[in-house]
Amino acid sequence: MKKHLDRVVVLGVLAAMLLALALSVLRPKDINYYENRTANQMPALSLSAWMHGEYQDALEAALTDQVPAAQGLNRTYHQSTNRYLRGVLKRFSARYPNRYFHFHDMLLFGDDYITFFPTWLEERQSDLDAKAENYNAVFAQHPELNFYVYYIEKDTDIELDTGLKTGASDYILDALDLPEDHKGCFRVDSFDEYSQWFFRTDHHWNYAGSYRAYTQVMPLLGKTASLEPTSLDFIADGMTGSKAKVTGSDELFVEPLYAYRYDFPAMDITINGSPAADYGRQSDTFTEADYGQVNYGSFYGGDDGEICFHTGNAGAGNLLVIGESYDNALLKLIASSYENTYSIDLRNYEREIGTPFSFSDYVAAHGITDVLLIGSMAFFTLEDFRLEDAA
Amino acid sequence: MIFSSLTFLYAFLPITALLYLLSRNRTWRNGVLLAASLVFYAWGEPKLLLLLLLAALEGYLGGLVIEKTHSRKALIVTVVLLVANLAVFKYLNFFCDNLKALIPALGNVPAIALPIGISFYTFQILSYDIDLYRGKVGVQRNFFSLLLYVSFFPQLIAGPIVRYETVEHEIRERQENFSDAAAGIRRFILGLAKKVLLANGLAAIPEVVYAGKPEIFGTGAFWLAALSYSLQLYFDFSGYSDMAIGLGRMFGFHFLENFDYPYISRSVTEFWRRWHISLSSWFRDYVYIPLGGNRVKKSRWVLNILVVWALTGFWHGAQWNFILWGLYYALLLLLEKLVLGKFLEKLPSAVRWAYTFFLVVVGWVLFYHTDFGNLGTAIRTLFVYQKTDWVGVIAASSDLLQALPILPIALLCSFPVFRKPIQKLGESTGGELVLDLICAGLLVLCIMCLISASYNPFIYFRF
Repeated sequence: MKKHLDRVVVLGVLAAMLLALALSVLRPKDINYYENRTANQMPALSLSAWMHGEYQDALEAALTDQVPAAQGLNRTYHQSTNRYLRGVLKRFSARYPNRYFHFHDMLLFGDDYITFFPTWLEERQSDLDAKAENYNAVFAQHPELNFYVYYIEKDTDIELDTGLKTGASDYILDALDLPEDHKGCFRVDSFDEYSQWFFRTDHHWNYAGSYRAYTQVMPLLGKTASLEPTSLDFIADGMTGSKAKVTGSDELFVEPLYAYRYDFPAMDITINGSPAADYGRQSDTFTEADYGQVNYGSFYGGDDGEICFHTGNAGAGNLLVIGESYDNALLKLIASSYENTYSIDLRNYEREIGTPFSFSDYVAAHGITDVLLIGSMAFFTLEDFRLEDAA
Repeated sequence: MIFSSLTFLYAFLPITALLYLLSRNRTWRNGVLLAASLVFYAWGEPKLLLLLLLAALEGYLGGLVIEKTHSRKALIVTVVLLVANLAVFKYLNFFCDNLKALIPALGNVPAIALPIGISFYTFQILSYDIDLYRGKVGVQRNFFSLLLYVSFFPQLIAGPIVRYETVEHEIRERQENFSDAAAGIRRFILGLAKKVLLANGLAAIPEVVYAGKPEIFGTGAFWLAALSYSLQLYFDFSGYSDMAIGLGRMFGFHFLENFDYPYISRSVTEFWRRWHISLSSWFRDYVYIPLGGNRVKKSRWVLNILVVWALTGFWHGAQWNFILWGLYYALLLLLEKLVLGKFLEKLPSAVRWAYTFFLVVVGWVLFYHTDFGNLGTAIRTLFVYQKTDWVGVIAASSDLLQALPILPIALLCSFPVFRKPIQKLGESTGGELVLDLICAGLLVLCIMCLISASYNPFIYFRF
């Protein structure tokens, strides 16, 4: 009997591993749904790739995604470890609310807020200098336009336990050659303020933060923040934000989504050249079926390459908004005060529209009068957000 | 390639095993193992495969000459060539950097990449030629058979150091059977679990503590790190040895044990009979005894001990802290032999265990820190009390927090608490089935950790 068992063990293990390998090679998965990205595929073998170690690394990465049950095992691992970590850290965090606790590559602070590490000016100074140089050159090239800059401070701009500011916002705003009344900042000066205006599990601002920004941006643009919330609605439960996803703890860190409702004026909207019934789902009603499905992006609107809003409000001006995802919550609000509003996300424009973004050509083609550059530290440091004319 | 990788588990091993099973005779089977071993080495070091082949050729040709001439000169030339190989690739940068520190005017020597496993395969080839000269083994006239011995993938990059006499017969004639293969699989899985679940799991503790802020990480935290590293190192290396022994057994080879629960030792002398047995016995047989061992006058014997242990330390790495670590053990062994021996025997077992464990843990602190500034800080913090901010320790890293529950499990597993239960399970079919189910569960857990890209350093890889 033991002999038979030994035979079963040996042949069984061998067959299982060979079958797993065969499935990985012959029936590969295209998407890693757990990590929300394309799955690594089996690499092609070449002598050069082998000699440089690239083939070996690529094969290991491919097997990580392709072996049977890989995503399930990955999910189980992260859920189990994060359940334990959250259990321990929640106790400590509740007892020491003014202390950062490391949680994977993020921090926990206060009552279950997942935060980024503060990014000090020295770490990003050269990137900020490069961005200032780029934007100042564009400002000088287009004296006919009204440029406005709005910097959004968040957890990267302040050390929440001490209140010390990192200094990046003032540095970049000082470096930009614009009149002072064309520059604004969404300031966050304490954890109390941060917790009022931002989600716990997501890097975006919540309904209160985005409305506050609207009330600051409109006067900056020389307009009035004419829209006021008609109600504060509970939208859906079980929202798990970007920071929870990044730490693999999306099923442990959830929060409800609340949002202000507004009486938006009628507007024609196109997204990447195609007419759209709406941008986001800000006017929709939601049911329990939406719980766990709605998040910042799906409610306020996504990072589409080009979104155009036409109100027919003749003479109100044409605005070009260049930003990241924070302005998604503001676009319909701001667009309500302009005749035409164009929002460009430089990360996605070329891929979704099919041509590179050329600033000068775009402003000329759309009769732009005002340009709003709006974003957080990432916007003012990453190369993705350089303003250029296509070659 | 390392054993604890998906490439090895899902691709390399099953394909090698399948080809081996399908091979019709010994020559083909040895050919499969040789080809697999060369692919295994070239996976990580494609260019340095030539060095491995060259070293094997040196050993092979040297063996032929030694066998023909029985000449001591032939042995010396072979040994010098092999040691020179090792010296250049592993130690040349060390010597040049130290010379440059003394004579700054000297130019820079380009950094030489350390070939993986060079310490292991060089010692194996040396053991073949020396044992051949001593008449303990017969000459291997088939270069490919000798190359198989030198490059055999289970023990190529991290040991154990297998003597040629252990496998001489099995290279030519071995009896593979399902019983051995199944036992090999179980042993491999247990080793994999030691490495992936215990060693890798503990790694974050010393890393975070030793790199952390002194106002947070005080004496308590440093002792925690020292203990964790001691266990991490043990499970890392003994786990790898278990995997090597298991793999060998799958293909009909029976390697000797390399670890025997070293953390139950009640003296430093006993510790070195239980830890990295293949290395300590190699130095005993090929350095200590040729130097005269203890059959010389006392002053020469003391010198022999110091030389052997300095070399043992130096073998572990081309850094001064490893030499210091070796000399640390030399002094302890001398103390036990000359002064403490009889006194220790009279103490209760628990006291002797505590004394040994304490000294071993401190020794691993010397082993860990290659920078003397950090080493000094570590020793000072261990022995001069500094407060630990334990909340700060919890806050410092979630990897450290994740590692903490593994510590008591690892400590328990470092004692032979499971040895008798496992043996008992293996005596019946039902018991073996339970063992197999446990192994299956451990394998799934290991694969889960590997897929999740757990912290996966391998310490002995630099040898």
